Amino acid sequence: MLPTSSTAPILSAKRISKIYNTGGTTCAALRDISIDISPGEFIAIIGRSGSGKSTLINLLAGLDVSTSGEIISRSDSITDITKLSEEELARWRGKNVGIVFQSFQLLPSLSVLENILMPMDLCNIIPKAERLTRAKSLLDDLEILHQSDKLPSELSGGQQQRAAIARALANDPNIIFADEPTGNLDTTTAKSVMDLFAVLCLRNKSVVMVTHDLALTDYYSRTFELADGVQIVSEDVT
Amino acid sequence: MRVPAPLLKLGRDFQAIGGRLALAVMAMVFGLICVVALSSSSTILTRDITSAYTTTNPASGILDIGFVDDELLERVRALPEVSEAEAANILHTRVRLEDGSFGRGILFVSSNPLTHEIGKLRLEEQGASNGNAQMYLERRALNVADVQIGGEVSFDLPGVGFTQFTVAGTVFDPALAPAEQEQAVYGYIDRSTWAKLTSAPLELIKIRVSGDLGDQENVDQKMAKIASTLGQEQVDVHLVQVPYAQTHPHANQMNAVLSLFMVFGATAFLLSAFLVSVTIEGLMVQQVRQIAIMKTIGARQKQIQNMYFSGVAILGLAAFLIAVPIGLVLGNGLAQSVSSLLNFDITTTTPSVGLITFWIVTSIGTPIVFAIRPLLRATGLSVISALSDQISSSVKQKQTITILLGSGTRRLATAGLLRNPWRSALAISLLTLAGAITLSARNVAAGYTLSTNIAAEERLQDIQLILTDPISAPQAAAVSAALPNMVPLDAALVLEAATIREDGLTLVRTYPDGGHGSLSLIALPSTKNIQHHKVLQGSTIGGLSNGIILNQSALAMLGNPAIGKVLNLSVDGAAIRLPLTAVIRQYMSPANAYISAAELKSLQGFSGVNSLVYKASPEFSTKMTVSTIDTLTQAWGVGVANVVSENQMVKAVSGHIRILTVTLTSLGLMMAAVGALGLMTTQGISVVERRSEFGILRAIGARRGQILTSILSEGIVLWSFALIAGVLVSIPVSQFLSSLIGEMTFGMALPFSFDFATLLIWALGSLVGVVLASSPPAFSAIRESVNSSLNRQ
Repeated sequence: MLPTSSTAPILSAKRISKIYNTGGTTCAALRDISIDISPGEFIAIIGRSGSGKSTLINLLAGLDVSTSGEIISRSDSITDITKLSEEELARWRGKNVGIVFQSFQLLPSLSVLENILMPMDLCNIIPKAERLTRAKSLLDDLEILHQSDKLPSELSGGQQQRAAIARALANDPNIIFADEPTGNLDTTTAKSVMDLFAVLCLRNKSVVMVTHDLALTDYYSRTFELADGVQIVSEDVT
Repeated sequence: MRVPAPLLKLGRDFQAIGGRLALAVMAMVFGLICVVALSSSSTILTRDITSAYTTTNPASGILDIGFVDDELLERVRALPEVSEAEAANILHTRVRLEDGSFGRGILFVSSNPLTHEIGKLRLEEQGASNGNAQMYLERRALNVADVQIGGEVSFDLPGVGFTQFTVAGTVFDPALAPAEQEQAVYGYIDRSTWAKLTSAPLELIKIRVSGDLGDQENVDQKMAKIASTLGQEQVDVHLVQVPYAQTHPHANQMNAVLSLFMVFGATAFLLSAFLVSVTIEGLMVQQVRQIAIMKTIGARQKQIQNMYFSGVAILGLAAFLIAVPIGLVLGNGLAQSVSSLLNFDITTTTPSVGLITFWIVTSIGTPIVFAIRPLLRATGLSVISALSDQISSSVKQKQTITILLGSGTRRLATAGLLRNPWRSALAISLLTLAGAITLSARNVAAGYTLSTNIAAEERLQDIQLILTDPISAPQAAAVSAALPNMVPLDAALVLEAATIREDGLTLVRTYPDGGHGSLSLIALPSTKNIQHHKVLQGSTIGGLSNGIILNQSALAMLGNPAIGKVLNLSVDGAAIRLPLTAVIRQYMSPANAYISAAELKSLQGFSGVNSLVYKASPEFSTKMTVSTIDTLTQAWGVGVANVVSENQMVKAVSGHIRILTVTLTSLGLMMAAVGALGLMTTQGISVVERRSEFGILRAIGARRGQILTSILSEGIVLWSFALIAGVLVSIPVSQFLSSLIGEMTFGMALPFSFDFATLLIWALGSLVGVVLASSPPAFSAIRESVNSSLNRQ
C-alpha cells in the first residue's frame, strides 16, 4: 500500500465531459469528471465495462479530446492540454506521459531495444549519446536486457508488458497511464508488473491504471470509481 | 553509428512488403523508361532536325526564271532584299541503273556540289576520279541506284538523252527525305559538267533573303519584292518557291508524332505512380495501428509523414537510377531511327541539365504527390480511432452491395473488388490503357494497309510514264498501240501549278525536292481515270466541264476552299480561274487538281499529253515499256522523263509510317507490362488485406478451392471490364491517330480499320497475364494455415 501524496497535483482534470454524437443521438461517455493526480500516486480507475474508464484515461493521457472541461498539466509550465493542437499534444505526450496498453502495442517490426529507442528518437528529449545506454538500463531494470535483440513476437506476454513499460519510461515521464495492463497476463506475471508500477511510484512517478481487478487493491494509493460515465467515488486506500 | 529507430521502422515496413513494392517500383521504372526515352529522343530530334537543316544554309526561296546567266545572277545579288544568290537547276528525270532498269531521278546542278553556299552538302565519301563526267550521289541514294562509288549511273538529260556519270562520291543532304523512301536517285553535278553535256540553261536562282530568315513574313515579303523587281525589269518569273522558313520539311509532322508519344509515355508513368500510391495505401492500411502507437509515445504527425514521404522519395530515386540508363539507350535508339527515317544525323545524345532535372523531379516528385492522399489519410486518423477496431459505415455499405450482387464465391469476388473501388479502378485503367494503345497501334497499321489497298483499287493504272514534253493525242494512241501488254487509260497533260496570291505573286511552299508542297494540274479528256475515287465533297456528275476537281491533299494545300469557290491558279505564268466542283479521295497521292483538257486548251491554249497511264498485264515489263516508248518518241524529240509504278509508291509511303506503328506497338507492350505489374500489385495488396477474412471464412467451412476461385474470379472480372473498356477507348484513339497520321501522310484521315486478330491476341494474352498475376497471391493465401491467417493484424 502506498502513501497518499500531499504535494500539488501534476495533472488536474476539471469537470471534463465526453459526449458522442452519432446519427443524431447523443451519448455521454463521461460527465463532469474532476480528478487530480499528484506525484507518486498510484490511482486505480475502476468500474464496470462501459462505465467510461478507458475514455477517462484516454482524455487524461491526451489521446482523445474532451467535449468540455479542462485538463491542466503542471510540468515545466501550466498547460490546459484540451487547448493543444494534435502536434502540441504529441509533443506533450512524448515528454510527460508514458502509456501502457493491455495488448502491449509494441511495434512488431522492431526489436525490443529498438522499441525502447523509438520514443527517445522521436522526441529528442534524451541526448543522443545517452539513449542507447538509457534503453539498456531500462531493460536491465525490468530484467529483460537479455531479450533486447528479439522481436516482440518472440517474447512471452509478461516480457512484452515489461518491454512496453520500459518504452513508457523511455523519456522519463512523470505519469504512466496503463489501460488494463494485467488483463492479458497470468496472476504471477500480473503481480510482477504491479510490483514494477509500485516501484515507479516510490520514485515519485504517478501511475494511473484502468483495471477490473480489485484483488490488487493493496497496490493503489487511491481508487476512482465510475459508473455510466459519472464519478461514483474517489477514495484514498489507507 | 546507430540508425535512428524511425528509419529502422521505415526500412522494416518496406521490407515487409518488399515484393509488392518491387512490383510498384518496376511499374514506375517502365513508366519512367517511356518518359525518359521519349523526352530524350524528342529533345535530340527537335534540336538536331532544326540544326541539321539550318546548318545547310537552306534557301529562303527559289525563283524559277527559265534562263539564268551570270549577268542576271549579279543583278539579283545586288538587290537589297538578297543576302546570297546562286544559280541552279533541279531536274526531275529518270535514271537508268546498271542492270538496265529505270528509276526516278532528281538531278541538282550548282556551281559546285561540294562548295556551293546555299543548301550546303557535306561530303561523305570521295572516290578516285577517272576523267568521266562526275556525279555525287546523296548517301542514301547509293542503294536505290544499286551502285558503288566509282560505278556508273545514267541520268536522262533534256535534249541529250541518257548520259553516263561516274559516281565520284557521296554527299549528305539533310534537307531531303531518304532516297529509299522517295524511291529516287538524288544526283549532284557542277555547272561546268552540265554545260559540257547540254546547252540547256540553268533555270533557277536560289536565294537567301536579308533580315530574319526565320520570319516567314519577312521571307515572303522579300521574295515577293525580288520577284516583283525582276518582273519590272522584264525578267519572267514563272514561279516563286518559298518553303516554310528555316523549317525542315518533316519538322512539324515529327513534332506532332513525338508530342503524341510523350502523352502516351506520361500517361504510362502517371499510372505507374498511381500504383505506388496504391501500394503505399496498402502499407498504410496495415500501419494505421502502429502509427497510432507511435503517436502515443510522442511521434508528431509531421514526423511520421516525413518518414514515409522520405521512403517514397527513395523509391522514386531507385526507379530513376534504374530507368534513366535504359530510357536513354532506348531514346537514343528511337532518335537514331527517326533521324534515319528523316535523313539527318544526330550530333549529340547528351541530355541537357534541364532535362535531367526534369527527370529527377518527375521521378521523385510524382510518387510523392501520388502518395500524399494515402499518407495523409493514414497519419491523420486520431489515435483513438486508429487503435479501435471499428468498421466504418462505408465498409458496411459495400457489404450490403456485395450481398445484393451475388452469393458464394461470386459474392466473395465482388466483395474483393468493392473493398477498394479506387484500386480496382486503377487495375482496370492500367489494363484498359495497355489494351487501348496496343489495339490503336495495330488499328492504325491496319488502316494504313487498308488505305494502300483502297489506293490500289481506286487508282486504275499500274504504271504512269511522264514524258519530257507533251505529245499529240494521235501520237499517244500510236504509243499505246505499240504496247500489247498494256491497257491504256486516259492520257493526261500534267503541269506544275501554283496558287496566285492576292498580291499577284505566284508562290508555292515547295521544297527543293519538289516532293513536298507541289501541286499538279492534270488535264484529262474525261473523268475515266478518277471515277473510282470516293467523292468527299461536291459532285463529279457533271464531269470536268464545270470546273476543277481537287483531291484532299490539294484541298488542304489551297486552304480548304468551299465547293463553288473560284480557284485562282497559275500554270507556266498563265492564270486559270475556275470554280471548285468536287473533292475526291486519293490515298498515296500528292496534291492534284483535275481540269478538262478541252477547257485548259480553250482557256490558255495548252494541248497534248505528257502523262501516259496503263493497266498492265502480268507480262508487263517497265524496262521494255520505257524502251518501246523511247524508240517511238525519239523521232518526235520526246522521251520518258519519269516512271512511277505502284511498287514505288507503296515503298515511298511505307517508310513514313513504319516507325510510328513500331513505336506505338512498343508503347502498347510497355503499357501491357505496367498493367500486368499493376494487377499483380493490386491483387497482392487486396489478398494481404483480407488474409484474416480468408482465415475466418475457412474457419467457418470455406474450402481452399473456393477462396482460390474467388481471388482468380476477381482478376477475371477486372480483365473483362478492362477488355471491353480497352476496345471502347481504342476506337476514338485509333480514329485520332489515324486522322493525325493520315493528315501527315495523305492530307486526310486513314480509313478506320479494326484489327480483330490483335484483339484476339490481346484478349488471350492479357487473360493469361491476369491469371498469372492473380495466381501468386491466391496460392499464397490458401497455403497459409487458418490460425496464421486469423492472427494477422
